[in-house]
Amino acid sequence: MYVFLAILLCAFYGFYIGKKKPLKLVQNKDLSKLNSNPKYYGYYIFLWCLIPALITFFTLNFFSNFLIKQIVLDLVPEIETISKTNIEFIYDQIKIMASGNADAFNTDENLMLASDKYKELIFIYDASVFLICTCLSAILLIFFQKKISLEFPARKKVEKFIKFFLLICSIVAVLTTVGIVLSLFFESLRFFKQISFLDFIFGFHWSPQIAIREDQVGSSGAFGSIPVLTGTFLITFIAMIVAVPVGLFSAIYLSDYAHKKVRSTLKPLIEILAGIPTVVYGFFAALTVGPFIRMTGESIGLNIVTESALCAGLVMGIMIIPFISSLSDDIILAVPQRIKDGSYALGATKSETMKKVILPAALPGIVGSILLAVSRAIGETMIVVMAAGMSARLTANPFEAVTTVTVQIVTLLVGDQEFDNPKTLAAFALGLELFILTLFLNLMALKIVQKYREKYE
Amino acid sequence: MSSIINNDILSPISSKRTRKEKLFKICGLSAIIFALSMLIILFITIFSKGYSAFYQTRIKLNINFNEELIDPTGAREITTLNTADYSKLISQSLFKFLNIDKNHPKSSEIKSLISYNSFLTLRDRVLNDPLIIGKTVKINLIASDDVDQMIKGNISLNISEENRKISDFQIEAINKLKSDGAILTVFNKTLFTKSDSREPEVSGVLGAIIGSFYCLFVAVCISVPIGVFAAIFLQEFAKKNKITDFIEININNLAAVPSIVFGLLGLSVFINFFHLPRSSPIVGGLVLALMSLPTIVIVTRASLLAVPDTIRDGAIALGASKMQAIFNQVLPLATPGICTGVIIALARALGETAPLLMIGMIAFIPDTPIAITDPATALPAQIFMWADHPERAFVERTSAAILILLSFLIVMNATAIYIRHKFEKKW
Amino acid sequence: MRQLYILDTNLRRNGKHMAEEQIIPISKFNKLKKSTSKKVTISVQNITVSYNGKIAVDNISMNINQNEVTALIGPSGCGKSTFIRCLNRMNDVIENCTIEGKIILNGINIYNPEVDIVKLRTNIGMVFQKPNPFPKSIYDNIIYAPKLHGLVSNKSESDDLVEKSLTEAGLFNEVKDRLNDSGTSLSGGQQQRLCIARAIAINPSVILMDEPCSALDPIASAIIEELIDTLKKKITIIIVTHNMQQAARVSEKTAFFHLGKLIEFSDTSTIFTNPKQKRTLGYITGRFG
Repeated sequence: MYVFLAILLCAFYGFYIGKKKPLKLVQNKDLSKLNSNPKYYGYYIFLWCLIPALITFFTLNFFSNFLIKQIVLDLVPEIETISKTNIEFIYDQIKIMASGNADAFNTDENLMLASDKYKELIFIYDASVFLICTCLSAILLIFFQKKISLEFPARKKVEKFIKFFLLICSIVAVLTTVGIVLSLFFESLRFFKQISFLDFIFGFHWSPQIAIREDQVGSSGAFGSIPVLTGTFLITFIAMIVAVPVGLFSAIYLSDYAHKKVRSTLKPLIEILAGIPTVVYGFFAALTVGPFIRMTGESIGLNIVTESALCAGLVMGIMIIPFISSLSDDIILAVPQRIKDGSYALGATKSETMKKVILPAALPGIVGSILLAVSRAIGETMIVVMAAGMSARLTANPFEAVTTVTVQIVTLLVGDQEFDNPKTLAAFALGLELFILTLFLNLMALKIVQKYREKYE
Repeated sequence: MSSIINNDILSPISSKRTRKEKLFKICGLSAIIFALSMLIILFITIFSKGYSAFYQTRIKLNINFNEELIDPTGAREITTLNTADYSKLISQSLFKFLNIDKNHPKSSEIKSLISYNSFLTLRDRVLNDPLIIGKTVKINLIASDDVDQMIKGNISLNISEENRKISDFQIEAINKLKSDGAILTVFNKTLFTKSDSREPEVSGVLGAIIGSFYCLFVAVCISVPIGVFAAIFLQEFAKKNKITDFIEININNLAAVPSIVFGLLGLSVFINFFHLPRSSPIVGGLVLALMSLPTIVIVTRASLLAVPDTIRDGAIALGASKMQAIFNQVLPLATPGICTGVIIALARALGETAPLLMIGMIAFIPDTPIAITDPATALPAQIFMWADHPERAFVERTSAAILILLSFLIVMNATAIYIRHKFEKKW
Repeated sequence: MRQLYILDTNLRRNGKHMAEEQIIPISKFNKLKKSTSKKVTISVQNITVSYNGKIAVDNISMNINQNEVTALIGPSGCGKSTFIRCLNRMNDVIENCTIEGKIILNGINIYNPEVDIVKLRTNIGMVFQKPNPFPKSIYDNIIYAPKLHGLVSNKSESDDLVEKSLTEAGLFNEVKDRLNDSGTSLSGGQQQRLCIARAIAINPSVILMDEPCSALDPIASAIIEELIDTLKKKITIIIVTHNMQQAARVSEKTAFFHLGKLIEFSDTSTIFTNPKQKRTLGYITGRFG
């Protein structure tokens, strides 16, 4: 903490000096002689004092953590025999002991030794980091304030830095994608070391129970993802059967039939459906829609389970309606009025114009929006977790319970986690599958929509 | 050759075409009606199930703070006061009120009328004011969830006793309490002042709200600056080349990546790689920040695009650098649009549950979090957990929590709409 | 023809300075036409159009003669486009637009609530300022409306109708080998002729043209003008134009609009050589507009 304070202090002093010095350099307060506004000289010094010191601090911090851990744990006897999770636990224990709450735990001699070493190392580290960072900051301050002269292009340099900083910010998005891909990929790789890749992709049986003890019955789980995928597609399909006609017709009505005033009230009302958290839909599906469908089924002599694919699909469809209606509405409105006028002037009715001229023209855009909605439905989690089933079944019957990719990811990862267990790793493999599937849909949809926009711009 | 009016304009078009036109219109209208009625049904269901959670049944009892039971030595040591058997005080006064012998075979049924945690209320009273010992005070104690549900009419008394949550003997006792005016219905303060609990009658959403607030705070601190700066770079400075195209595609795609994948990212990167504490709002906030980042970038770019070039040209013509023109002139003009977008993105993040499940924010956490590294839960995650409990009282509380979450969302969205209308500029 | 274009550009370039003597060279060509028809197709009676209470077209009455070209001229924003859109009720699409008065077509007020707007538009075709072919093939562009109205029942009839319409619009030879290409792939002038072909395919009695040449180059405009000349043998044409030379060349009667009012309406020869109103004279000699 003191390190930050020292660096900041240094930086602010640098700002002050940087701002003052050019003012002294100019004669008769003739600021036009200066290359830049004096503020920029201040910023320039400020940045040079702050950024390198901070980078040094975080780099040191990152490496020292590993180093200290290594040194401390070497003091613990028989460290090689202890499992990975236990090592974490012991290290945590050492840390807590070092912070002074030693009596809360057993006072193992070796751990005491290790915790003393930890305390010592931390102290050395803190002191050295403080020295290094503060000195660095101060040296840079002296060095760069000497550089200040009338011709020094401070503004340009500062702006260059800001531009670089902006670039870094926009790269965060790329880093996120890279993070997603790498984390999913490496965990999946570990999974495929234990379970064959082909079994996962083409297997027809999914029951990820892995026994904790080896002698337990049924210790080998089955990881064939086909039934999970078909369940996902079944529910998505049902959702689309609800959402596409309703969304499309709503969009048509709003864009072409409704009065401006009606439209300006109805459109946000429908969009509320998109703003409701999915957990609320899940609750609604599990508590109201599921029993309702079951009871309706009973009254007409059908045996429908409460957690039927129909229930989850129906509610998901309701959630998807605004995605389709909003996007399609925009796309229909993007068809130029003159094309509509052309059709009306030939004596076409509104519905004929819509069906034969506007929709064909808007079709690529609408297909794009439907693809986006499908991707959304496949990745939707809460509704299916709360309203769909757990067991993987290979069926196309909407009255039965099926499971989805997202449900399986949640069930596999919620609760105990052991990261060398194929059960846990299977979640990442499913996640990778999900990511690739949605990535494909998204890219296709975005491309189609993009092309469509360009056509009418 | 002369022109002829080829059809009489008064004769209507063929009935088939008219019918088709009407049918088409009806389809559109019924689609809208379907969507809206679903919205209404959803709200009515949640509201009708949830509104009753905002009040609560209490039982008013005369509690005799018997010194012999609490602190027979009279030393008033904290440990004695802490460990005294306060439950006995309650049951004693209850038995006295109902004229039941404490050795009655069904006396335990009577004890369970009052919430199990009520002894804490008495203990706090004594610890706050030890002088109360020896006195008899009227105290409103929280009734157990079954009593509460019965008073609210959610337990059907017509079914047989074995299938009922509440026994005939208990009903008799409740009716007696009722006729003596000892049963009160008050505003449910516990819902807002307590965190999660195994007992529905003393569980509340405070911890979840604070957890959600911390998450959003972290998310705002990270995603808003990064998102806005990234948008400025892409919109104003980036040259059109392969790299910026790639970044752009990336952002558009990230906006459509399923939220659960972000949860997996959080789990493997923030928790397993960086060793940030599991279940903590800081990890939740980081994940939500990454999730809302693309939306913020897209919205900010749209707002920047809406500022006309004349503003940039005007500033540059006065000798400002491009950077100065953008930060001093363009960005302030785009701020209302950015604010609106940010609030909407955050409202979405507030309702997000799936990624929080992945990073363990659905643990049972009865304490209210203090720091952003404490284990915590969030409002939507709390709803998910409560929805899993079979008790009727938790159904009520789930719906109430949903109402609270929805009201937060409504407030956020209303603010966004207000900002948009107030500061909207037409160029 | 060509000389007229040169004149046209001169007029524009010199604007005010050339003043009144400009009237003489036009009349020298002696091409200005006079109305000869006795039959009235459309009778406009006291039409007033307002958007949101703002009056755009103010109390206009005029008779449109059959098989003649009537040109509507006037500075931009004078209400001529709004007016022409009244004639086939295209303004119905626009919200907050109120129309008062009568337009009598074939003895019937087209604003009579019993009139079928769709039927009306099949009788009164329209060509717009910017060519607006549907994003479909040339063939489909033409056959779209006949199919809607059930004018064709089989493929050979369709083929014949497409050929006939395109021939009448003078486009057939240019596009006969690529009838399946998109209508938007044609050049601007061709697109506009495609729109005209599309309109005449359903055999309307009147065609409204809202500045059909404003988006076209002079050569393409000339072709359209010739086309108008041919079409008027069958069809009554009303054309809105910015270009006074065009009005002078193609029309029998000319109406001058200014600020939503009909200032003067008479034979084209009268308007361009001997206008009664000062404002008309001012406009055609380029003093304003």
